[in-house]
Amino acid sequence: MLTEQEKQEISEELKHCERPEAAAIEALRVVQKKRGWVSDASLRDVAAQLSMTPAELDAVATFYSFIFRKPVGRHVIALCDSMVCWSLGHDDLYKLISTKLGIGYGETTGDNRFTLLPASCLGACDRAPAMMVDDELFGPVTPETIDEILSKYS
Amino acid sequence: MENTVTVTIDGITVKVKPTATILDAAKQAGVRIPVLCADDKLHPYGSCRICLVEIEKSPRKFTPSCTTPVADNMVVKTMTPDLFEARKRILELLLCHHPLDCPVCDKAGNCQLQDLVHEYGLGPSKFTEKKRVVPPNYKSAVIDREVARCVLCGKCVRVCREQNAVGELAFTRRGKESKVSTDFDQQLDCEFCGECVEICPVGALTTKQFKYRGRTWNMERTQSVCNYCGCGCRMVYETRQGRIVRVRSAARNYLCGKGRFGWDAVHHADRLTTPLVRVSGELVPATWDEALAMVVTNLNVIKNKRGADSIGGLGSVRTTNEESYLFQKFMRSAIGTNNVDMLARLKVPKGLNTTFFSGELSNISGHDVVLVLDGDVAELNPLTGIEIVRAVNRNYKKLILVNSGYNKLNRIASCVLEYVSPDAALADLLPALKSGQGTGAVADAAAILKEATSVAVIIPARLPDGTYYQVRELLSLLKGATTYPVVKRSNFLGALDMGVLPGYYPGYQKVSPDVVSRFASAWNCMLPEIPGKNALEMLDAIKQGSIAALYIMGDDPAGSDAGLKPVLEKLEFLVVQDIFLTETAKMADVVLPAVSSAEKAGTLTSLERRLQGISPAEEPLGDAQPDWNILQTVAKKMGSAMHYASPSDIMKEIRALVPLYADLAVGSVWPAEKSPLHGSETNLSLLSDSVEKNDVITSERLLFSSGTTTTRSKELTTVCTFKVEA
Repeated sequence: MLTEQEKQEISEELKHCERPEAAAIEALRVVQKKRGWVSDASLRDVAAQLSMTPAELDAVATFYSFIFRKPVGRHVIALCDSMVCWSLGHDDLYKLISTKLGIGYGETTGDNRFTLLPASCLGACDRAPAMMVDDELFGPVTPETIDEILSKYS
Repeated sequence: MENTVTVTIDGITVKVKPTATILDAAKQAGVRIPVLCADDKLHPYGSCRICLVEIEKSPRKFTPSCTTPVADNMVVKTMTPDLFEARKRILELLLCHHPLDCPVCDKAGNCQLQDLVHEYGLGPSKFTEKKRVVPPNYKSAVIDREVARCVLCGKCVRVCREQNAVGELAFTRRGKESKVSTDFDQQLDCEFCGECVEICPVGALTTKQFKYRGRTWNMERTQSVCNYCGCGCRMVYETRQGRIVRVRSAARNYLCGKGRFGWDAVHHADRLTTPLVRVSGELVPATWDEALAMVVTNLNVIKNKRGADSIGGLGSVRTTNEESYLFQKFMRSAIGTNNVDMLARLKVPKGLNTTFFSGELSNISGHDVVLVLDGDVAELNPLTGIEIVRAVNRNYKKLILVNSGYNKLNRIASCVLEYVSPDAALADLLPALKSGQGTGAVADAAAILKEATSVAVIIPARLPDGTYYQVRELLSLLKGATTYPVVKRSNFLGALDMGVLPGYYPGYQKVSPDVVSRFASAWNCMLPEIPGKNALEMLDAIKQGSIAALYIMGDDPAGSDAGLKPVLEKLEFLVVQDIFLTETAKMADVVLPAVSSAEKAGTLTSLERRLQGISPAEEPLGDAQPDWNILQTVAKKMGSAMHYASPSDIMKEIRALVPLYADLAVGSVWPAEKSPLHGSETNLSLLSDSVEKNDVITSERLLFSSGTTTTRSKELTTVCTFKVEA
């Protein structure tokens, strides 16, 4: 069940759109903002409000890597694995983070602090290797700066 | 002069509309461009790239022809050595993950991918990685999803959304992980129309019904027409060794779940295979001679003792025109009464074929606005529903929907009037149209309707008196209105046209001295001159004892209203012709086994008034006989001269006696203005508070269940538990 506030916020987004489907991403973000991720049950509810079928909305949700269809930790690390970041040290960076946190791609730390995900191009090739934690972009990330970055998130 | 552009395709110059694609132009030029993801039913999509062509002076080496619009003086080549190689590469890539399980694939022999690979002659591939392993999904009713065979052309996704407005299928995930999925990959919960199976270019979607039942090249095919609702969709029976194994829609047509999967009722164990007669209170098998002797003797005794008008006849909406014609001829000439009618008249809108003549369904898209007064139209007449969706999704027309519930039409409507019934909606809409009163949705609807220069009005299946006058007023307020009444039963119009009416001879020729003498001389017999009792009057007459015998062809009054059982029990003699032992047949003194529409020839008249032919795909089951032949045998034994070798003999007689059918070609529609009832106040529907004509249904969805036959379809009973959308 969506909360009244979520329904309200989605209705607000719908006002900007000629067709309800056009509000799909924003509506999913409304739910994700409050709950951290989008469950099957909430996706079904959002679909109903947008006059879409669950399959149609799920097509949108699963296409975008920043809509989470599985539970994630309190913070999400998105490590860019595209061409430029890869050639400038993605693999080493991944190994480092993975060892430090004890998790691989798609996994969440036992204390639920971090989830590690790959991201295709973050659009920050000039700062490669780049990564995002929640909404903040970091780069170039080096073994020296990584501890400091991670320590900002509890 | 229409605006056209000139395009040259492989040296052939054609003039086409500026909105045409290169693929359209090629079709017009008679040039074949191979395709996988393109289909006439769908918007251009351009996912498969098989349709690449070369355009002279284009900066692009290859251009997809299905999505590229033509330009004036464009010169296109559809086949060059480079294009051949390019298409070969594309096919090679498609085969990377496509399992080559053609020997066990139901699609083999009818597979677009298989045909293309054969045409382009692929050898060993240089791509050597392992095939993607995706388990098949057999969880759904009726339809199996062999996910690994999917080439991601998106046709199923698009047909489900664009044509059906159901949206049950969608692409989920992305890149190499993308796949066609249902809601969270659960079992299908949709209309089960099977259009996705039909349109799939490979074997990714198959039906459980057809699995391992035969190879496509071993099938014999029989063109026919679906006999479930009034839409009259053309279809093809595919038979193997004389048994139907599959039904498919005729090219570029549509079939709903009932049409595509409901044929298996023909093979149900309940089918009657031999005549039954009542002996010491029990129905026991008998020969045709015994059964017919009993029919003839009893009818003659009652006729001689109490007069011909003490016998009544109830006809059917399932039988062919020829059979309906013969039924009323039998009642009028052999029995000698005009007591001939159909209870199905309880289920049609008032004003049908007098005030409201249906336009051709394919023209619905041509109107500016579609006004749907019956929210259930897509369940009752699925093809009408598809044409409404086409109007919105393909032709960008506006839809105004009156619906108290929520269904697929709500999703695509420009404006929804949430009223419990059409009359409540019209009570607000009419003043809004006349004087601009009203707020909210009503005001929006009125504004849309005022702007429109042509409106398609979907007339509800139930139309009581009050609503009828409201609709008439509505039509007078609209510009360019065409009506599309909902007619639930397949050959209802045909039966009306053929005069299964107590007051009319075939072709709506009123029982009058002129008409009676014309038919009497044509049929070479004496005919009754006073109009007979209608179906409701006949039931009353049975209660009062003035009708003692009833001859029912293909109807089940006791099954549709249990309250009629005590009424029918009062009869001295009841004959039922049917394909199943229905509730009514169980009460009969003689039951005569008829054949289904898959086993006989004849014609049906759709709700568009289109005459269409059906053909037998199977031999009659057991001793069953077509209704027309049973009728003429009984008539002959009663002393009438009926000698028809086939239904086409009967059609010849119909053409000679019924002006509406005189030169009506099979496949065409008789013009509304030609009907003697055009514009008259005659009411061809019956309205009753006491008698019900309930559908014998097992499902909450009328889409899957329309009575006697559908309840005996194994495939349809597997989906009938699915609920209407919440």
